[in-house]
Amino acid sequence: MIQSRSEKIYQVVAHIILILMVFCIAMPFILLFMSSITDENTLIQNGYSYFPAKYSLTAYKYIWNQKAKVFQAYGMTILVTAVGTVINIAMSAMLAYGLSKAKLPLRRFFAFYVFFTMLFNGGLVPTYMMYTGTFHIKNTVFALIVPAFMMSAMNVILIRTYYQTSIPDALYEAAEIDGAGPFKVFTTIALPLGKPILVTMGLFAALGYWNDWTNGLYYLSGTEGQKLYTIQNLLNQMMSQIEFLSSNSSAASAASSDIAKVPQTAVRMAIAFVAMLPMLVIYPFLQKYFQKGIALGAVKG
Amino acid sequence: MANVTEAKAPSKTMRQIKTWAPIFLMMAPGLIYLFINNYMPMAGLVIAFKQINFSDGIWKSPWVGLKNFEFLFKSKDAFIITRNTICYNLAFIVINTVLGIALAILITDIRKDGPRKLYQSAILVPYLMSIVIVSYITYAFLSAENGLINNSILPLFGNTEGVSWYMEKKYWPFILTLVNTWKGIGYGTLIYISTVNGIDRSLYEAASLDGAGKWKQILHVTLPSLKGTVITLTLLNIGRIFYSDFGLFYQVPMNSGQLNEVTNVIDTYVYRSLLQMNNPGMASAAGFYQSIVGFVLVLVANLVVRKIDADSALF
Amino acid sequence: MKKKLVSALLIGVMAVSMLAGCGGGDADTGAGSGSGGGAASGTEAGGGASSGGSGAATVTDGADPSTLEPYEIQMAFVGESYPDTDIIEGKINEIIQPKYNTTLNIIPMSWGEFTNKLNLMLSGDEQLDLVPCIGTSNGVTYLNNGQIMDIKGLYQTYAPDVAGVVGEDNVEICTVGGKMYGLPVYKEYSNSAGVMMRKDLLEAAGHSVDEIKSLDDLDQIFADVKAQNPDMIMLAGRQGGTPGFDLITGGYFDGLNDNYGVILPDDKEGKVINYFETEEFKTVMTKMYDWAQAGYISKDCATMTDARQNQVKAGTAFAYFTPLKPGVDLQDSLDTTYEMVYATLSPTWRATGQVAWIGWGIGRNCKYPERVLETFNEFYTNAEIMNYFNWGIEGQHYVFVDEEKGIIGYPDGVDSQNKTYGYNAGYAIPNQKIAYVWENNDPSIWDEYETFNNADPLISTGFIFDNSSVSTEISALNNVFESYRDALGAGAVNPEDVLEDFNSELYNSGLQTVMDEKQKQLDAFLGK
Repeated sequence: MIQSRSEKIYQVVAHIILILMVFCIAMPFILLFMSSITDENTLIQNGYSYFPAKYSLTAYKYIWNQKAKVFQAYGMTILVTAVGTVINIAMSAMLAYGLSKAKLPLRRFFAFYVFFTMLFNGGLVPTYMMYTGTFHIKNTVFALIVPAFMMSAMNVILIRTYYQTSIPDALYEAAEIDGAGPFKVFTTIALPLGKPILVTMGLFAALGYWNDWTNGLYYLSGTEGQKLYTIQNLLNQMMSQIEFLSSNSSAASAASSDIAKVPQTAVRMAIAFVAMLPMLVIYPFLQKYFQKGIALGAVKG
Repeated sequence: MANVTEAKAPSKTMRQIKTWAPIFLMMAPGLIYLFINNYMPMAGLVIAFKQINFSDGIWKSPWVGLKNFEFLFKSKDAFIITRNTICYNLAFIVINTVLGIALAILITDIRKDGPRKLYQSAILVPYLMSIVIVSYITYAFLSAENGLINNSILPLFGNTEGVSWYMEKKYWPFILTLVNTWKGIGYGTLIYISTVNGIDRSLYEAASLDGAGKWKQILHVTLPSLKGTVITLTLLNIGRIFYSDFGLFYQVPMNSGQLNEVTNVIDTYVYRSLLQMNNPGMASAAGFYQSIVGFVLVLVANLVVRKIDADSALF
Repeated sequence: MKKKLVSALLIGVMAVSMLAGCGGGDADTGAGSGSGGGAASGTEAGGGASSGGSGAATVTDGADPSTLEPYEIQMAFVGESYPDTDIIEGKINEIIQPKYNTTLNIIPMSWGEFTNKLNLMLSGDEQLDLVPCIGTSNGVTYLNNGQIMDIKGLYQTYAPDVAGVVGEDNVEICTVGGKMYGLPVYKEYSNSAGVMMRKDLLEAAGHSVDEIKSLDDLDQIFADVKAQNPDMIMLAGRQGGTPGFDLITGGYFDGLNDNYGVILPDDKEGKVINYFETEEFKTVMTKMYDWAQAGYISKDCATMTDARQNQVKAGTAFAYFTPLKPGVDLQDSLDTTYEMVYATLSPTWRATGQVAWIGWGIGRNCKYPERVLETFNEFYTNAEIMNYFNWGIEGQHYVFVDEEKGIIGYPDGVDSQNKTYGYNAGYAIPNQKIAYVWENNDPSIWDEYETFNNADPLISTGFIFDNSSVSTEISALNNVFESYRDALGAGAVNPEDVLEDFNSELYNSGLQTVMDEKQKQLDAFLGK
């Protein structure tokens, strides 16, 4: 394709702006990584720096010391994220698809029903009592998947909006005239055409599961529950232990001679890095799904 | 003829059921999940009006009327925290929308695949970080004695004195907005990217044939296509206008009391109030208050949207 | 809850009276059965039993424990989760099962989790028998919320040995409004604030700790040390733990739970006052301000997150204020890797907050409170259980460094980071003094504890404030307090400019109401 002069200028300007953006995003992130490999004493003396005077891998060794736990927790996180995301997207897409139908009976009621859950919630204590008392999910893998993250009203509404605005009714009608049933229309039209939004929402759902530590905190306990800990739970546990010991010298003094050996700031940074790492690795591979839209013109005409 | 129309009446309902039953079946799992996960625990909102005693159970605990709500209004800070919460949220909505759309358009317009993927990946990195970590990074930049800005950047401009960032409240509205944008921009941008990607390419071709330049294409094709998403996101955010990211306002300013006037929002106020109190009633009351305000606002906003553009309304 | 309790009591009484006929033979259930090990103080605990009056009438008394229903005691504990916990539980069960037909299940929670987790577990229908109420305010709310039981009428009968271990004066410390929410443990009981300093720098500057009698004596020392080490800060502090507040909360007053209305150590009448408008508060905070101006306190002090010890270890700080207790200098020397010395800067007095730092309560869903208490009573006197619980198994989790003195250390190849068990949490377990002592600690440490713990009480010692009727005021006060605390304590603001505002905001938020309520409850406590 021949690029016009103005198009060329536009491309250059766009690149400049976006490179600037990448720079703004990357610099703090690099600082995070650098401080995780900075010697603790250097960190306290000289502060944070891109070029620390002394490097140290103690923080990572500290985490590596618990590698058995860490890898098991990674496994748990991956399992929960995979299963949860698939269920999440399936339920959200089907619900949103229904809501996007202009003629759906009681449409406004259902839309409100979904939206209302974004505003009000019963609070932690009642939710906990219900899930443990009625559904007995405590210390099971369901505790990590079911509460809070299996579907979000936000995602449903955004998918619905996408369906409403980006997929013309004519497409559905055409398919129906061809004799396709409602399920068939959903799987052959709504799912593939909804791909851009579904992949994005799927990513957010996956991130929700990946970054979640609350379900583990609330619904897993004891040695039995801790076997199900996700990576975030484990890392949070490490972090809170460090935080407690550095703030509460008097009560903890019996144990503090052990803990002073842990480089606190660097470990915090290393923990953050370890928690993000797999996502950073996986994310570029998801990119291919963020493809450009499909030309609908032909079908429409 | 008369017979035919008479026979049609019942069959119309039948046909309605037949048409919609499969759709409802598809919607059912989601609706049921919301019922269990969200609606069932809502009964627990009564805690906000009770003096809870777990031995007696929630229902038998004594009613205390609005007593649990008092702490929200008794403080002389009530005005400040409400103002802060609303102003920050409004600023965030505007900035994240405008910047998110701009970045989404720029990114999707990049022709080369490699750089485009890089940009698209980079924008989500901050979103992967917990706010606690963001607060440490912020501290790395702003710490008075060891911070990068005081040590490395300000001296370049001849300022060797440094700034006590965590003591000077005038900077914080900007710092918090910057941090929030840095951390949160990826979310909106990705949603807009997916919407832009979903725009029918033929619309651009048609516009191009009509002689519309880049700017006109954005104005007449891209932006109108984003309208639905923008309205939806904005309405959703208005519903949550009384909520705020606790970590952003508590951890990022390092809980520095000097900054309270510009960093105290409802969530931080409630957190500080209930320190060492473990009072489910008061916690529940705070949540109820935040929800009810958001609810009223969003009802009004939705009504306005409905008047202007019924399709974009939430419900 | 009352109903449950009454019926539980009835069952208990019935069981006792039924079994009494079988002749109350073996009085083995009580104390003294601690099999060897550490110090001998376990035996004297037996004396405490008789004071309970009906001390001998226990559930298992004279009966074959195996006829009782087996019961697994769920015990929450704040500490790391160790892989060998199951093995340790097995070892402890070998001891308690034959006696009480109970078994132990430890539910470990980390420090960041326990507030949330405990609160949730106590809200639902779960069984949680032994509940660590950390901090008096937690104990009081759990009790008020009906999440734990009142054990006042139970502990003397079923846990008769506790008083002997923690002292008659202390055993009922966790009492509020006539109800008792928990049992204290053997730990340090007194408040005393001091300054902890690097010995090498102190001596290099030509000073010694003996010179330090008051806060003002530090001026010269800091000036001299600073002159020799211009890059160092003199006083380390951190977010929520600034020098000024480390010092005053360490022993300058009894904060009566929240510092909103306090009792001064020399007060004999029991008059609740607002410490923040005292001359003393102003003097201390002005000192902090002056020191911050002189560069003795870091500009970042109020926002720092590194532990004070780590700041000293990194070589950036010379000293810090800290609560004192026996052996604290030794521990801090290990933490900081420098030899540390301290000087006392406040009176030493037995404090409610220390004695009741942890109270072991009984959860509301506990089926057999009596049997749980009986089993827990064994923890107070049985050295074997304490060693298992705190340190693990000999040869596996620890080895003897000096068997005669009962000093232990890590086995080869084991350290704090790869150990598979070992809470090392003397401050939370029922009786640390009958367990072995970890190396680098003075084996005579418990003698020092005796003296330290027997410091004179304040008039308010033993009083616990129930803030439930003034929760609205407390919440507003929390907000005001939080916005001034760190800035004042780190010397970042001039007290001259802000103290007036601080106090007027406190009063506007209902300080007087809280103080009046405190006074009322304290008067009732004192029997006025």
